[in-house]
Amino acid sequence: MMPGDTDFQVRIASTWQLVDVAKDESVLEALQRAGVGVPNSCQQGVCGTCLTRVLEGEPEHWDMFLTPEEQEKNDRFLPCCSRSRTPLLVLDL
Amino acid sequence: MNDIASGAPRRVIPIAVDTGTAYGLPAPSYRKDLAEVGPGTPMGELLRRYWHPVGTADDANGTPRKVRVLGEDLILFRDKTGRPGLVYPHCAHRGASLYYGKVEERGIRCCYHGWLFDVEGHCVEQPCEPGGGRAKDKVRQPWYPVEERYGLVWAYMGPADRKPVLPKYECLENLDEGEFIEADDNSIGGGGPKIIPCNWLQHYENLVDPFHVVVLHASFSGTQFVEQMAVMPEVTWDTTALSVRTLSTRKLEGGKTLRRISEAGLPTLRVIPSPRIGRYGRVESLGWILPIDDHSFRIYVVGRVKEKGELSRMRSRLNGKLWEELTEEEHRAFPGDYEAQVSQGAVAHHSEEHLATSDRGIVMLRRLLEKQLEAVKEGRDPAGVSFDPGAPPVFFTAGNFLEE
Repeated sequence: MMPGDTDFQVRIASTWQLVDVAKDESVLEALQRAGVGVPNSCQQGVCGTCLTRVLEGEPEHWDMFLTPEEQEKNDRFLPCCSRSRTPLLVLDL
Repeated sequence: MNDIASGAPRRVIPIAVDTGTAYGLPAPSYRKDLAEVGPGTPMGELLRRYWHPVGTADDANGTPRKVRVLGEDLILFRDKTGRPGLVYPHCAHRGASLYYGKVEERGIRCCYHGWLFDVEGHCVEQPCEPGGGRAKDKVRQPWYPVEERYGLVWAYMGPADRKPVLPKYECLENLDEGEFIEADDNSIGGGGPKIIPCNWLQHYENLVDPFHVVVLHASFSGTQFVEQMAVMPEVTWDTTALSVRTLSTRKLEGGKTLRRISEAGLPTLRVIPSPRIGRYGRVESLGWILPIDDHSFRIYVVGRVKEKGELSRMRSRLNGKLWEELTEEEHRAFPGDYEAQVSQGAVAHHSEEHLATSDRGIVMLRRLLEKQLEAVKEGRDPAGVSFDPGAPPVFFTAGNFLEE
């Protein structure tokens, strides 16, 4: 749905599970595929329903929900559309 | 002879499994924190940190008047010295309603045993008690502070030590040549009757939704405002200290550009330049959405006008008819704001909505409200309350601006 240029991985902090995110899928889709459901609605970075805390790594924000200042903090991101600048993101899930 | 009897292979028509049916749909739910306005609720407490209009100056008179504000039933009156009062209806003595009371020089007198209360709830007379009530000073009728401005009566229903000054607004303070201030209580902008039977948030969110103007008001139901509004605008939103602002830019025929800035101001303000574009320039009126309770609201409007009655003529008409004069068939065939918003539900089903890119303003407005809820929860003051009587009037940038 919201593909990016590169593959990366996300780690589920509570279970230490590692999930691959392919170029042609969103983090949300990758999580769902791995059996991790995150509440979501618009799937295009508007509504903020899927907002998730980032514990490690640096997300690449593609959303319109967070303000530029909030995006700069890199402590939360929207897995429906945003990607990663680092090979790994650790998510507070 | 059928297929089975003939011994021919039986034809099986594959049954496609339907998807997306309404079967098993979970019961809808809504954002209680944003929608509910009663005492003790998060939004109710936030709204109680601001002044709200509870009637026109004329509504406060010698006849006690029932008003319902933020889920509370109250009695509005004006004592014979001219002071408006807003009190809890049940008399502090035995609970009869002061709606049946009599307004006098010094306040309102209960019909049951004649206890008399002033506009601040002090009990000033107990005619059945020895000596006119030796302990009357111990009794207080619950009351709220009220003030008058712009032809409306305003009430502060929050914690006493957090009462802000009643704000003034630049667009209502600085009048152009020949203008004067007029107030209206007909819920202008609501697209329906005086009292609109749905949650206030539905109307408030509609203020940051410029795209519905193109559909609901400019094509679906014919031209409800003016032709220019049928042009699909380019839209951007931003959040200011006090509002979510919508900038809609329309390229008009002839090469001119219409820049329309409208705002949803904290806590319930409509800062909406006339969609009929009678004149260009800064916003000419402000509206306050008053949540009556969780399931109904009304709108008070104050505007700069040049002729008496100009505001009430701003009310929507279809084929020359006001909303209440239309038939059910006309409502169905030519829906407006009332039909769209009331049909979302007594409170909109937030659990069932699918916000899209055109709803960005709504998300921003909810976030602005959430920030204020957080401030109140943490013991801070929400945005837009001022305790400085000398503070300059509140300024909004809204207006319709025509550019070459």
